[in-house]
Amino acid sequence: METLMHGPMRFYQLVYISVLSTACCCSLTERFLGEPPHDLQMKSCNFQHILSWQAKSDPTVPTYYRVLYTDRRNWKTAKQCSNITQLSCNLTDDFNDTSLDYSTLVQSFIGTEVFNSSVLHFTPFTDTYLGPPEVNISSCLNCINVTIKLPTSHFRENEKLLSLIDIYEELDYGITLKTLDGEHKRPRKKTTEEVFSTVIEELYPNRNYCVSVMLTASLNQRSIPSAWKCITADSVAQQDYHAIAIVGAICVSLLLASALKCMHAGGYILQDKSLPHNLVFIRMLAYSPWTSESEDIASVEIIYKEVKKKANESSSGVSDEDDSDDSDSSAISNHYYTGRDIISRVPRSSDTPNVFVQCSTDSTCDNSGSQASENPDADPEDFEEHETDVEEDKDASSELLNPFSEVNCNYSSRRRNSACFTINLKSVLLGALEENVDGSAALLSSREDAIDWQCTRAFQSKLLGDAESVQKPRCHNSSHEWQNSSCSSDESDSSVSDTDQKTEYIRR
Amino acid sequence: MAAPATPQPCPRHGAPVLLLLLTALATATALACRHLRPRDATFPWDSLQLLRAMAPSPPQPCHYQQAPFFPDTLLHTNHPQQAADIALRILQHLFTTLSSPSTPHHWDAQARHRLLNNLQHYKHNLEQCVPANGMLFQGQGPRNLLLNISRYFRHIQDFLHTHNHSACAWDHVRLEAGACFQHLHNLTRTMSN
Repeated sequence: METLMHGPMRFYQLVYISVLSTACCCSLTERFLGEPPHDLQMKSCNFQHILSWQAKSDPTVPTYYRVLYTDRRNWKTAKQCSNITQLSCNLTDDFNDTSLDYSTLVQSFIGTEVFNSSVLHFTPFTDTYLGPPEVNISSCLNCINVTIKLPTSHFRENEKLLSLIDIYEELDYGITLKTLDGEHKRPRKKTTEEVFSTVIEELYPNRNYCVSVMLTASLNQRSIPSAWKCITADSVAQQDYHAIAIVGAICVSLLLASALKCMHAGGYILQDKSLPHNLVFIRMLAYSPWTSESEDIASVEIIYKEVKKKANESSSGVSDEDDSDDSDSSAISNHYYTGRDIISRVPRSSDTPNVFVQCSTDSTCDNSGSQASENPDADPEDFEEHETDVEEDKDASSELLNPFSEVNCNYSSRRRNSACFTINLKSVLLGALEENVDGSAALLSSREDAIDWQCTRAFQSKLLGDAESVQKPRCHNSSHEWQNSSCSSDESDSSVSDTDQKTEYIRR
Repeated sequence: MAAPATPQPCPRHGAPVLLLLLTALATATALACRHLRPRDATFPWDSLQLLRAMAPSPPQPCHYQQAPFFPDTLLHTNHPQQAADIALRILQHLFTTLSSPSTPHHWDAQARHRLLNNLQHYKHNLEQCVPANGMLFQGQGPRNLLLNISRYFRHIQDFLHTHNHSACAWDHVRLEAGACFQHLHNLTRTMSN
């Protein structure tokens, strides 16, 4: 009897267990495929709408999503959210009517299965968050000046971007003031402008205040407040300090400018003194590739005398003579002299400075040759002699490149027992003269190294009693032309009959 | 013996004076619409929040067949008095519809009660600005707009009846109530001009 009872019971148990196992297997199979999208959220800020959702699916099975929405008239597919794999969708361009209520859902496609999410209702006009605005603050006397700029809207109407004022026509802004005592919300005010300012008055001076601004509309109180910005309210003393600091800075600047100007006028700074042209060349010569020999220098006092007329007479006299003084004629053409004789020579002294004789550029120097040519009475032979001497002197002129070399004069002896010698200014020493020499010697100081010059004519210095003029020796170099003053000051001394008006003599 | 009563003059010249007085009174009341109470400024937003709190959206989408939608022609009015008249009519119809006993039982009763109170207060304040029958604006267009509003709310009643007051039908009506509050806000701004 008990065996008969156990049989059907076991059959029922087997059937029950099989049904349960089948149900479990089916549920397990569904879990593996996936679940409908859930937890739909619309993150909307200034009419930029981003829908996001959560979903669980088998990673081995590809899952695609599609977003659908309706304005309670027609169901549409989101433009950029069809057959997507990401869990978000930008619906900014799909919600083209701000006042409509949109219903949105997400479909998931897992294999051949389609799952629908729940519906999310969203009205852009009332559900988008406004802000945060751009806030700038500045301090004033017992007050704070707050400048507010509305955020940019993402809503487009007929391809035109509208602002929040265009959409809502009027916005409310509320300022929250925070101090150490706590927060204080000021009464809301209305605005219809994109950028506007307001002043928070009746504040305590030298106290720190923090400001935050939030934007709202009559039909949209959802807002994102701006970040806190803090500043200290100005006081009278603080404003005075600012003024004093500014005035002090201006005074110091003026004092510095005047001091610099005085120093510049006194020549202590920014000296703008350029060397004369002659000295610039001498400086250039100082850097020439040739080495110079250090020589003793001596101080020389030279007395110049303007003897231009005499030089003209003497030059004409020379031209009349057949056997004119070669040195004189050559000097006319090439400004060189041939020393007839060494009158005197003062021993060199190491202490003596270099002698530097300046010869300023003068038209007489340039016209020396022309004067000779213009002289109608000039003997052509004289010109030949001049040319000969010129050639000879030209050969010697090459040695002028070395300003410190002494060139021996190789001219033929003169008829008048003249001698050709080279005078180095550095070796010229002035002292007691052989002939009656009166006068004073002018000391010429050299700025740079002395320049050797070759004289092709003997010098006969003549110190004048008045010492008003100085006879400058005539020489020639690449860049300088000497101003000759006299050829011969002593007509009696025909040996030194340098008739060239440009010649200068150093009386020895 | 009683003195004979002075005969009263015929009130033929009193009608224009009365009309002028009524005009002045209407103008004064119209100006009063510009200065609504501060509480009324947040009335549209508060009403929208109460609508959402009262009736959560159904989880599944509803398919609306021939559903009524708020007429856009009511939005285009620049006359303050006309805007006030239209707003008043909308408030009256909303109160009648939402206070119907056939509203869904799953709606939040407390939120619904607060919404109906706000409607009543705002309507009362608005009635101070607008005459009862709007007789001052006869023939100037408001009557047509009032007829248009009445037709719209009649359509809503028909829609509910057609769909047997289903949850989806009431959800559509709830959303249309939200649209009405948005337009009330615009009409309020027109009244303030």
